[in-house]
Amino acid sequence: MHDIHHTIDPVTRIEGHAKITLRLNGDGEVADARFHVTEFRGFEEFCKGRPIWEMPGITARTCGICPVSHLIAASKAGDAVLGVNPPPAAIRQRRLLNLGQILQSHSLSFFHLSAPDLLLGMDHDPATRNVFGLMQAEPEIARRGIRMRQFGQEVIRSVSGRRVHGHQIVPGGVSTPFTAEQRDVIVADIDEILSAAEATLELLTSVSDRFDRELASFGDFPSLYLSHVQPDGTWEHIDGNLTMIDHDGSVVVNQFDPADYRTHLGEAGKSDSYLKSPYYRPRVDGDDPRPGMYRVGPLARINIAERFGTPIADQGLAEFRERYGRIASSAFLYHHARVLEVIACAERIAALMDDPVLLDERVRAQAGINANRGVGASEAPRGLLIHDYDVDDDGLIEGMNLIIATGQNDLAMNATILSIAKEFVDGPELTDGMLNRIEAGVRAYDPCLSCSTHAIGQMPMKVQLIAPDGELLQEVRRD
Amino acid sequence: MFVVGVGSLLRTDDAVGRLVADRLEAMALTGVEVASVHQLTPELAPTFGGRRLVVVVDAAVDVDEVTVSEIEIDNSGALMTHHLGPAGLLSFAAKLGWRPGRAVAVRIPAPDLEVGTEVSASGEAFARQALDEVLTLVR
Repeated sequence: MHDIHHTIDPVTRIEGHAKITLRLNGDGEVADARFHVTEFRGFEEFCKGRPIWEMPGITARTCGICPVSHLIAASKAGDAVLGVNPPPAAIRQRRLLNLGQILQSHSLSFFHLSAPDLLLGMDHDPATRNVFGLMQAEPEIARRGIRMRQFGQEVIRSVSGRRVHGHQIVPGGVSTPFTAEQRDVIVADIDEILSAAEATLELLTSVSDRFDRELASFGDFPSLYLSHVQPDGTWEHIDGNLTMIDHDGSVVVNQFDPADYRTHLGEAGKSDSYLKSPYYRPRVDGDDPRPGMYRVGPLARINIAERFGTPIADQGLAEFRERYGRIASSAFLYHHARVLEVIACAERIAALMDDPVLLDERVRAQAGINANRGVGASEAPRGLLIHDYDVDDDGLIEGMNLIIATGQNDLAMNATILSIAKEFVDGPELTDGMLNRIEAGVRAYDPCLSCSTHAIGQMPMKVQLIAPDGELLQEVRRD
Repeated sequence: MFVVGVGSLLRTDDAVGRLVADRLEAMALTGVEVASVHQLTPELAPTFGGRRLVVVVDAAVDVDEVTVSEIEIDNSGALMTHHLGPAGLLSFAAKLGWRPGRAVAVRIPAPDLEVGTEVSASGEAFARQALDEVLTLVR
């Protein structure tokens, strides 16, 4: 029997366009799996020559799902170029904005993209295995998901001026004060959203036992983890330093400045994908970046943090750790981590509403160009985001590097696909259940390919089955 | 009542629906909530709930004059979050208990859809007509 390939192209229910190739050996066993990102835009090139003040507005156009993350990272890089610390009210507005972003994006990921698998089943009819099928089968859950995302978007709109591609986050702070009227709109809904988030955690916990096989095979391997975290171990999503831990929880690099990321992180390119693959530099000796594989995002953040620092989320985290251990390694648990973070975001938003500094009218520090390099970092919903700008003395961009969460998870996503394929793919014929589990393994990371290749779009899926001599044996495509 | 203008601000006359929405909002009419969005999304569905009237104002390439028509629920089941039209959104809202009393589409000809941030002269004229139609509906 010849070696063969399966290719999933396009991959569905993720943000962007990608395909997956599975190579089988002569015995029909999965030998290798590759995740290819097939779209490209090149923001790092066409931003050259533009002024630093335009970067939040331009880079936010990278994506319609997580523009807030780029607004924040770009503005923080701008802060560094100006050499300013934004006023306390601006810092609070940015924190509120990022919490709203994480809440709405995680709600989208859970309810729209992953809940159909989790609640309807991996083998459910693909024609209705989507949010609309969920709406038919579980309307109350669908309502909850829509309300939670709507709330997160309203938080974003109140701070940034728009639900998508806001314009009020700028180098030096924000452009307008937050008003009591805006606060009251959020306060009116926060209890409902927190209750909905708690109910979502209960729901997810109640169905988790159905997925023991997925839990064991969806990327359950040792890796490094990287995220922001406060020096005392409290979960952090926007400011401060980064910590990297190993699979056993031991600290690899403690509290390093994001501006020093090049000391620790390298970036590998691939001939078959536009996605860059960052890796932990000290563990890579040669061309293969895989020994430096690390993961970012919700699972990394809750593995690194000791606590959320909010009571309901911390109770959920304690129960999570009792069940899955102090360091959770299965990529399937990204879903659980995401829901825990939604609760933490809702609790932190509620706390911010009681902070009078949020309403202060001094919201922007003004300055000229005081540095020729600026690095801004924050936690996007999907993980660490870094914007690194070199500017001339007039503040025009001369060089730019974007380190995107999805890229940082690329090596892990490839390894996850391989682990799932080895568990579920058997022989040259692909069933829908096999395909969906492979997609679901990618989906667990909630990749945003629009951001990671700085391209636009949705994420359909294509799988190809290819013989060792290159002959295409089978192709399955979903749009 | 709820009026939502839909379209891209970077595609010339595709923005006419949002232009109408912005002008309507500036009038600050009592009992009329207005939204201006790039595209229809499921998160608009809760906003439909309990409304006597919902009006969706959008550019259209298959009309030669401003048209006003009832939005019928789409029961085809072929709904996609990336391609959600007024009928699909209304269906979505109805199934989740957010159906408004009445839903109307105001469709505006869009003669120029090239890249651009200003509507064309023709688009501007159609936008004025569309605003009159919307005002008739909400009054």
